[in-house]
Amino acid sequence: MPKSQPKKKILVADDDPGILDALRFMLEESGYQVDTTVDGETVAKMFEDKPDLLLLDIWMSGQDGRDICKALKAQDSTRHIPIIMVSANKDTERIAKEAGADDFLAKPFEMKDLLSKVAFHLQAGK
Amino acid sequence: MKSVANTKRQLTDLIQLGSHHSAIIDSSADAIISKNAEGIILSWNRGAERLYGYTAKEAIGQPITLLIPSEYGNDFPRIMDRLLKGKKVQNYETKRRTKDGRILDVSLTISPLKDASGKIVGASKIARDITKQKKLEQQRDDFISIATHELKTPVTSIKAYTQVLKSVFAKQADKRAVEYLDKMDAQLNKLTSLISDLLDVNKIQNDHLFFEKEPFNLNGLIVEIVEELQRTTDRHNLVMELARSIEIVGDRDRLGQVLTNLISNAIKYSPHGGEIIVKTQVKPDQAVVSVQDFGVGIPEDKLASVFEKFFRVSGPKQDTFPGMGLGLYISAEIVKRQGGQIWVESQEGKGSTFYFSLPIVAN
Repeated sequence: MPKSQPKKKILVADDDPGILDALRFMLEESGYQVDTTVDGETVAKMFEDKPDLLLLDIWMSGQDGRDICKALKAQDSTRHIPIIMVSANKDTERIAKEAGADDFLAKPFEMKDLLSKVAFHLQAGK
Repeated sequence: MKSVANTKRQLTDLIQLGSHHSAIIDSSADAIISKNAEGIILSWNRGAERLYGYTAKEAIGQPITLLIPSEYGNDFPRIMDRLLKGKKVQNYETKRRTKDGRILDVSLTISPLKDASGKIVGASKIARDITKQKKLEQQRDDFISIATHELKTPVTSIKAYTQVLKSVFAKQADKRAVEYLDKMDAQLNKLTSLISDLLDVNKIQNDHLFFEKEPFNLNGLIVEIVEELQRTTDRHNLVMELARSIEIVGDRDRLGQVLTNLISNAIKYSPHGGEIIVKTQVKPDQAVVSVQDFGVGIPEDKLASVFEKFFRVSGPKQDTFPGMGLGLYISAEIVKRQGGQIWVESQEGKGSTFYFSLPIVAN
């Protein structure tokens, strides 16, 4: 009998509760464990739970998502965790990459694009 | 006797001309400053006194770096370098510091000063205060960012729910529900592109539409877009007649936007289905892309206005065509910025062919 894999943990940070809820629905349906927050300040703290991947909005209440990303990538303990930056503005793709993000997704996104990027970066993280 | 009188008159004329020029410079609202090749200020008009706060006495003899805020880097050597190559500096936007420490946004136009032998011995600069203008531009940029975010946010969550529901119902093999959700998703995509169009128009107006400049394969782009749009219609047959493959230097995404707009219009205005032909022609200095449909066509008296902002096809037969009338306006702007031209041939009832040309940069 094959050993069942533990569910991968995804942390979603976005300033809009509607998007958090929809993303939770979408990711849980696909078999992931999901934690969410609207508050930029708590992202660093929630990282202590060691999520397997972070979906981070560039616009966060309280903090710029790019600063959060830079800070997490600067720390040895969190650098390896893949971060996908999400934003309504497709022109900021380059800026997101410069912040050290592993990937970028423009809103509104196609579910298949989100899921395939999440799956890809979780694989790569192994 | 005559020559002395002549010389006297010439001298008087010269002096008058000199005073006239001084009066012009002095009365100008803009700051006009001249400096030598080492950057020492030689002249300083009243506009400069007003703009920077230093009197002519305080400024003349000082290095121009007096005005340059150190935290923004010293751009004077670069400016001088450009001038020494004989190039003018026009409407160069930069920052300068006033006597009382304020940082201003200024627009500079600088010309080289030459001596009798043609050697460049200094520079003459006209500076205009654009601080207020810059502040307004920043406010507009901020508004555009916020507006994009606010409008796309609810659309994002609705789209996410729609797609998850679709996969849930698909698993339950509920075909009807899947069909309805597909239609909802298509409408959401329409809404998203309307929002993007509105914001693009705003950016165009504020001259904030940025264009990448990268080489890409034209045929590759066309194939990609045609395949994508073919999937949106089963009543239309998108056909490609492409000439040899060439490389274009420009913004691939934006030109893809133009193609998408033209082909979507072709589909929209052929309500009974039919063929849509996408063709390319390669000429020595340009590539011409055309999109031909056999749909409703455009009345002759409207042909001149199709590329205008807010132009929409209207009339008793055609007021079921949705749209804000921005697509062609944006496409025209994009093509223009790429150095090309856009035009249309059409016959009411027979169909239309939209053309756009793109310059080919010789290698």
